[in-house]
Amino acid sequence: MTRRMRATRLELFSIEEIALRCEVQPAYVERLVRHGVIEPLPGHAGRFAPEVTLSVQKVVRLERDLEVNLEGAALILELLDRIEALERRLRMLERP
Amino acid sequence: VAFKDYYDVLGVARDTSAADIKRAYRKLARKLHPDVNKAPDAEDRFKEVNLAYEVLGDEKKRALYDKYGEQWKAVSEGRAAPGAEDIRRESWSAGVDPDQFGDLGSIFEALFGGGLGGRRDSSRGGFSGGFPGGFAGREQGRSWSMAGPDYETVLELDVEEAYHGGEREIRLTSSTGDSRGYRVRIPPGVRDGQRIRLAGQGGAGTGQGPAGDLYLKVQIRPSVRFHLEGDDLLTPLPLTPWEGALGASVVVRTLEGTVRIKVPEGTSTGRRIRLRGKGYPLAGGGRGDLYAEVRIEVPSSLTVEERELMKRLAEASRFHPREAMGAAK
Repeated sequence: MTRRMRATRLELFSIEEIALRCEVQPAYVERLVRHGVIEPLPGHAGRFAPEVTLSVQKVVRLERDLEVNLEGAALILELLDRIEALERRLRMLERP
Repeated sequence: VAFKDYYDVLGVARDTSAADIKRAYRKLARKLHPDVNKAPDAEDRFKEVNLAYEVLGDEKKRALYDKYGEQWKAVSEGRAAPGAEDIRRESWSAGVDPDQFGDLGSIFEALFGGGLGGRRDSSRGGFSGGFPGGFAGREQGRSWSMAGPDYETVLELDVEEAYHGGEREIRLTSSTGDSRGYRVRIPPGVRDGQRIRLAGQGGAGTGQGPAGDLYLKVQIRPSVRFHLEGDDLLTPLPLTPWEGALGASVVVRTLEGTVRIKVPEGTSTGRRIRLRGKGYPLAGGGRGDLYAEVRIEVPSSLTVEERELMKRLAEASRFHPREAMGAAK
C-alpha cells in the first residue's frame, strides 16, 4: 500500500496542543520549557515547531521507564544530541 | 518465537536475591532503552527485559515461575492447557496492548524508537509518581481517547538526492516484516538532521484521540562524487602529476552540471580549489562553496616512453619533498 503524501507546511503548536498530542498536562509542557528542554521557535512567541513533541514524548518515556527525574531526562536528551553531532562528524570522515 | 528464560534474559542465576534482580534489571533497562540505544534489536530486548522483570521482580509471580516455568501464568489462572496465546498477551502488557491499539501501532511499534506509546497506558500507575502534580484528575477525563504517539525514523539520502529533493517513494519495514510505502516530497536542499513531517502517519490514536505524526530524519551520506564537511561541499579531483606540476584546465562536476576550472601550477595532493557559490544551500539562505580536492595519481604501469621521460625527470629534478622532515635523499 502506498500513500501519496506531502511534507506538511510549517504549522506551529501551542503548549496546549503539545500537551494534547503527548498526553500530558500543559503544566508539564511549561515545565519542560522552563527547563529549556523545548523552546519556542525564534520569532514566534509561544509557538513551537511540531517536532518538539518528539522531545516531550522522549522525556516522558525516559522518566517513566528509567525512573529518572526531569533534570536527568533533560540531560540524557542533551547528551544524545551531542552523540548525534559526533556521529555526524564521524560519518563525514568516513567517505565511501 | 522461542521462549526465553526470564533469568537468562536478565543474566542472573535462579537464586539471585530480589535486590540483585532489581539491580540487573535497572542496568539492562538503562542500556537497552530504545531512546538511548539505537541498535535495531534494542527495543525488542528492552521489552524482553521488562517482561522478565515484571515476573521476577514480583515475589509471587517469581515463585510461580520458578515452579511452573513458561506455563506459570496459565497455571496461576487455573487453566489446564495454556497456549502460546497467553505468552503473547503477556508480552504485550509490557508494550502495546493489542486490544487498544490499531494495526499501525503494532506494525510500527517495533520499528521506530518512538513506537512505545502504548506503554503509557499499561504503566499508568507510574504516572503519579513520575510527574508530581501532573496527572491529577486526568484519569476520568481521558477515558479511552488518547493521542497516538509520534514516530521517528531515519531517511538516508546522498548529497545529490538531498540537493535536488523531489518526490520519492520509500518503504518502511518493521522487524516483524510488515511494510508500508509512502510517497514523500523531499524539499530541495534539505539539511542533515532536518525532519520531514508526515502529519497523521504516526501511531494511531485511541477513541477520539488524533493519530501521531511520522518524522523522517534526514541523514545525508556521501556519494562517490560529493560529500559535505559542515557547510562545505567537497568533490575529489584526481590529477596527473604533470597536470599538478604544470597547471591545467579541467572539467569539474558540480551539483548542477559541469564547470571548467583552472588548476594552478605547482598543485599537490590535498589542495582545495574553491568554486564560490557552487556548494550546498546554506541554512540561512544563499549557497556555500564547492571545493575540488586535488589528488595526484600516477599510472600503475608506464609505457616505454613514459618511463624514459620519468627517468630523465628524476635525474634532472632537484625536488626533495622529504627534506623538511630531515630525511636523506
